Amino acid sequence: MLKIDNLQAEIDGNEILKGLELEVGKGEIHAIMGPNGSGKSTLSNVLMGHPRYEVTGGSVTFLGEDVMEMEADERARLGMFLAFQYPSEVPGVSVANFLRTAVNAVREEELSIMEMYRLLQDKMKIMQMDPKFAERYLNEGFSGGEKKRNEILQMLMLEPKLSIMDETDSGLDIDALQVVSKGVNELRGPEFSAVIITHYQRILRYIEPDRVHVMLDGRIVTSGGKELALELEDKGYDWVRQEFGSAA
Amino acid sequence: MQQKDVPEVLRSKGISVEVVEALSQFKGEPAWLTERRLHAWATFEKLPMPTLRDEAWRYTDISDVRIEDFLPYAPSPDVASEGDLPEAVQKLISEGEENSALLVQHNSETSYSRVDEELAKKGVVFTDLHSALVEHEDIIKEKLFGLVPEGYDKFAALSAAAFSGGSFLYVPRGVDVEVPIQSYRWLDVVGSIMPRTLVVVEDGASVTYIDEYASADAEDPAFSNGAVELYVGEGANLRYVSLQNWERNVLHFNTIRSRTEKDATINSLVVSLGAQLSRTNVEAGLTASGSDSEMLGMYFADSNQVLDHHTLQDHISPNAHSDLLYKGALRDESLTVFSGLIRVEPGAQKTDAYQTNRNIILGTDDAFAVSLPNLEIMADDVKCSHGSTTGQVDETELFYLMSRGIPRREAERLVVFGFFGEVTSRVPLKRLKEKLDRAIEGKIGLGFEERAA
Repeated sequence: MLKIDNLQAEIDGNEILKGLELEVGKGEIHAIMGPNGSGKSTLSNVLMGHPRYEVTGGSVTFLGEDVMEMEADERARLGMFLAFQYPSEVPGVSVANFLRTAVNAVREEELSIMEMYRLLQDKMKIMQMDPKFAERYLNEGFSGGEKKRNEILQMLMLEPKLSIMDETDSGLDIDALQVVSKGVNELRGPEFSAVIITHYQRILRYIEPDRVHVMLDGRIVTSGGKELALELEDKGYDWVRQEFGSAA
Repeated sequence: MQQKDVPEVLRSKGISVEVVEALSQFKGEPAWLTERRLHAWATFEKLPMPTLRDEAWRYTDISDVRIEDFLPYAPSPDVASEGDLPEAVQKLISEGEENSALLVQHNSETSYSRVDEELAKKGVVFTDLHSALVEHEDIIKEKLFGLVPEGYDKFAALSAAAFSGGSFLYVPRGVDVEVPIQSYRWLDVVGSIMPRTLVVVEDGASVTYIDEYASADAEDPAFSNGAVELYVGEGANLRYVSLQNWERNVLHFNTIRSRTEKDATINSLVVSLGAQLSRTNVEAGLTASGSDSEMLGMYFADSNQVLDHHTLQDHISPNAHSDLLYKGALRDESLTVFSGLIRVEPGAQKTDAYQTNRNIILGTDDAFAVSLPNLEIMADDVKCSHGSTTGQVDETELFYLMSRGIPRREAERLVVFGFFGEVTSRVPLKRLKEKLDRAIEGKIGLGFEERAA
């Protein structure tokens, strides 16, 4: 479903991704773990088409289509989703208004106001959010936890085929982490794939991955099953650097 | 009023002492008003035309404005019912707020006015200034020119000397007018329109009043020069809206000044969308303790428009509150000016005053937003703050919206509507908001994707 081949990308002239390879199949959940500065966030932004990053080599195909030439909105309509680490604040645009616009853009047919309202109420219930939340301006004055819940709420509303989650777990307390994980597990099934990008293996206790990859210096350096996450927790990133750093 | 009745001197270009005299005589005005007009004319003649060297006109070049080129007066036919008004005006009315009183000034004359019977019974007066002089001369003599006097500036002097039409709204003590009162200034000749608005809201009364300016499209320049005086009595409430949506041939000058008594509240919204050049001074005098002034503004400039706002929050008395928020969008090669001052006079302790100006530039390097927030504080126990930001639409914000499947154009629309939403959400007038939304939509037009490299 997602195939990343020899991906190279830079920001402001600094090379960050240096030939990254990854393949994610339909219905699979992959975790990408790595220390700070390994290029995890760059990977998620590049996959979604952030204009600040320049792709200098390699390819990314999603559902067989080359997405690197597509604008972010086209990628989203194809079924890609990015849960942002730092979602933007958009003053004056309510969560409800934003979601209505987004859902109508992604779905083929327009939902009626009533259908939209019900859908939003349902999903907010799953995320344990106050209905009043929908009237607030998008991310404006939201706490860290509210922003992350709001990201997952958007994911539930848009029902993507592939969700990239950029450090969604960082800064969350255990309760919020459980709610966020519940949201992801809600979508889990043969039609939903996810790439969970994280520094810690904590979230992987709630969302069990099919594959775990370790990222270092712009590349995937090793991959394995879910036990790799535990090994990493045990041995720390220094072990990764010793083991794989010299290969760079 | 038939065309043949209009004195010859009013039908030829340029304004002179003869024009002022003839106008006053034509309107059958009392001697004191003729005197005032003539005195104002002398002041107008004495004052030099402002230039870029004047601090208050530093960014707005009016060297091309030639008042002598405009016809001083243009009559219009009286109409018996709303259905006889020009179609364009009927459309404005049908798209406007529901109203309980209505006045249409067509060129220099009032062509139609109506006050709901129920309001009239309560003593609410809404008419043009000339008719008001017949029955309410005392109050007009006392209040007219009180807030925008001839000495205010060159354009105020001209207004005092040569105004015609205009409107007078009087709301008696304790009367609560629930449905808004609306006036339209409609211009469809190449000439000038010089209305004055005088609003007197007595103690404990409340009212919403909307002044809207619109015109028929024309090639040659036209001139609009207004003055708005708003008196808000003790514990009274006035919501005042000025919506300037002239066609591009118009040069617009306006000064809006208010005075609030003890525990009075004024909420103003000044919208500037049209005209080639538009200069509006908005000044709130906080003259008594407990008075409160909310000052909202929005402007959207395109092509080579110049939209200029000068504001003053004048804290004369202690314990008063004022809160200003002006937001503007610019595209193409437009220029906007915001110059705002919070002035806290000596002794105006416990003043609470805020001022914010934000500008958003839509995909161009050729538009220019001047933002000059200022504080002048002469008391020591006050809370004041001011802020100003100007920037391009944020690419990261757009990326965030687009990553949810929203196409760029729609994402830009959302950001711009969100930007102005901070102002419009504070105005509880549904149809006005819809009207503003349509105007913003029109200004955004086909999007602003053409970005400078």
